[in-house]
Amino acid sequence: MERTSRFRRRLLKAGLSLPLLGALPWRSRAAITDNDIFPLPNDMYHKLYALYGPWADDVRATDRLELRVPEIAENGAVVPVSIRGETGLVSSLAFFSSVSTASYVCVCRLNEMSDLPVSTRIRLNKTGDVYAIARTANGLLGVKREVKITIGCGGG
Amino acid sequence: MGGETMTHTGIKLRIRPEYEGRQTFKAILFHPMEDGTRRDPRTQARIPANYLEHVAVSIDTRLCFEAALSAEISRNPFIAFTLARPVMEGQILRVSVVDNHGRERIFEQSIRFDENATFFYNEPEKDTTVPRLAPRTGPNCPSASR
Repeated sequence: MERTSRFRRRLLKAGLSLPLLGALPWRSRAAITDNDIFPLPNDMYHKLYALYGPWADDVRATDRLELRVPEIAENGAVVPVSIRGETGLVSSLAFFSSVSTASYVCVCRLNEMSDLPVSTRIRLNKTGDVYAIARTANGLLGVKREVKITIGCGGG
Repeated sequence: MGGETMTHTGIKLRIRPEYEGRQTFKAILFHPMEDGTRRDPRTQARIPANYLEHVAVSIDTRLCFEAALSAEISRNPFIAFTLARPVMEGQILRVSVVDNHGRERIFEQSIRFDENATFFYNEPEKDTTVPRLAPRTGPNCPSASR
């Protein structure tokens, strides 16, 4: 009799803790179905953390955003950068470049009145990568493209 | 913001249906965007940093788009985005820019569309005496002859 009640108590405990496990934060993070982890260069993690806080821990690669940059730019002083994607997906957008010294190139905040194709022109003094990190409701999404600068230093 | 207003900032902007029929806002802000690392080729004096830090676009006092810029944005920054809701004739478009000294300049215009459903607004540079300098080049790099 005593043995069964002890067993029952253990069973009750186990049953109680099971739904609690489901409420752990890893579950909400697993809800992001967007593909793979987006690899960030080490210094960019810190730049991103300064902007988005702990969101920077989980940046996903995505095909829902398209970063349009020229593959080869003749003039590094004016490189057009444009980002397209789903309507209403992005609430904030940050541009970085691997050759920049600033903490960001441009950070745009969109709201219900503005939407994605966002474009600007940036300076790249040598060949490097352009990153766009977008904040969505589910987390950060990253896209990256390389730009070759043919005139000026470091051109290929 | 600071009491002094920026001297040499102009704007040229356009709103027109473009991307999937939605209105696109495109603006060029006339500004040298000096990052503070360049030197005057003649006097070798360092050119002080002077760049736009913040751009805000609002329609009828409602903030619509906001961007924090850095000196890595090219000279005469170009900014374009799509308007999720169409803007109407008669609404007030307001673009405010702030530079790294905290000086603010506000461009305000009532929206009027022409026959091509396009709205233009052009406010020329106030001060055109800013000298045009040689293009940016790296330390060991002869300047491109273009």
